[in-house]
Amino acid sequence: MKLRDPRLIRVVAFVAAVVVRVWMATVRLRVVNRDAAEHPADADRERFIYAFWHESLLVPVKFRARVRVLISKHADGELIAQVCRHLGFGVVRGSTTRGGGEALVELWDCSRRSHLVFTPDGPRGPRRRVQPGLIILAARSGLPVVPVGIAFGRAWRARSWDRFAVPKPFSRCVCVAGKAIRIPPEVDRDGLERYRRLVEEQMLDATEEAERLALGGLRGRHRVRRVPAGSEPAERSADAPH
Amino acid sequence: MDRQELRRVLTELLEETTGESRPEVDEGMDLQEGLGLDSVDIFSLIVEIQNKFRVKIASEELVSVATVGDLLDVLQAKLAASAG
Repeated sequence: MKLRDPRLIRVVAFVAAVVVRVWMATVRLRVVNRDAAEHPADADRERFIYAFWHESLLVPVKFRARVRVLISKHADGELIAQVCRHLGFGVVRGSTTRGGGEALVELWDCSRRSHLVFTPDGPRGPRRRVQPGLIILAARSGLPVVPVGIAFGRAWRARSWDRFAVPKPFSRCVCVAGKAIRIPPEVDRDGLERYRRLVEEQMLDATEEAERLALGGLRGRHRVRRVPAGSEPAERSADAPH
Repeated sequence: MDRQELRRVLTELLEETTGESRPEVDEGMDLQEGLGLDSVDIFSLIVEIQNKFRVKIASEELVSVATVGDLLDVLQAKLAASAG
C-alpha cells in the first residue's frame, strides 16, 4: 500500500521519526579512523564529504548531525523526506533521473560552509555502486571524500533495493572512516570514472572491515573512539547533504 | 550582452562541459532529452556559467528550467540584475 494522503503522511512521518530516535539511542556506536584525522572533523578547520551507503542512512541520527539528505523526487520519497526533516536532517530532493542537476547545485552551495554527507548509491540504486554525482561534486567543491563503511552486529534487512538496515536494539554499530580522497577540480570524464571506481573500492573495503569488526570485536591496531549516545558534538554539516 | 551572444557563449560552455561539438543549439531544445545532458552535465554547466558570468544561480531557480531558452531566461535576468 502506498501512502498518498498528505495529512496521513505527516502523521506517519512524525511517529516514525520518534520511533527511530528512541530506537537508535539503544545502539552502541564505535568509530574507527584509518588515518590521522579525527572524524567527523571540526568543520571550521577542514570540511569533508562523508560518503556511506544508502542502507545505513539511520546512522547519522547517532551523531546528532545536521546533515542534508538526497531523497528521490518521486512520490514515494515524500514520506522518507518528512521523516528525515523530523530527525533534523536537511532534505534535498532529486535523483539521477529527476532534478539531479538542481540537487547537486544546492549541495555545492552548502559545501562552502559545512561538511556534506552523501549516500552515493542513493536515492534509487543500484546498491553499493557509486554514482558520478559524488565525484563531480567533490571535484568542483574541493572537499575531500572520506569513504565510510558502516556495519551492525545484528540488524534486520528490508526487501528494498538497498536492503536497508535496521539495527536490532542494543546491538553494535561500527563506522570505519577511510583515508580522505582528493579529486582534482578539473577532472575530465575519464578521470571521473577512475575516481568513481576508486571511491567505490575504498567504500567497499571500509564496509568489509566494518562488517568484520561489528561481528568479531574491535581489538587490533586501529584507533577506536566510543561515542556515548547523545554526547557527540553536532557536526557542522549540513544544513548540508548528501 | 544580447540574447544571441548569450546563446553563443552558452553553446561554447556546453561544448566544453560535454566535450562534444554542438553546431545547432535551439532555444526550444530540452536540456535532458534534446541535448542528452545528465545531472552531472547540468551541474557542470551551471558551475561553468557561474564562473564565466560571475553570477550565482540558486537551485530553486533551476526548478523551472527545462530547455535552453529557460536557462537563457534565468541567465539574462541574473545579468540584468547584476548590471542594475
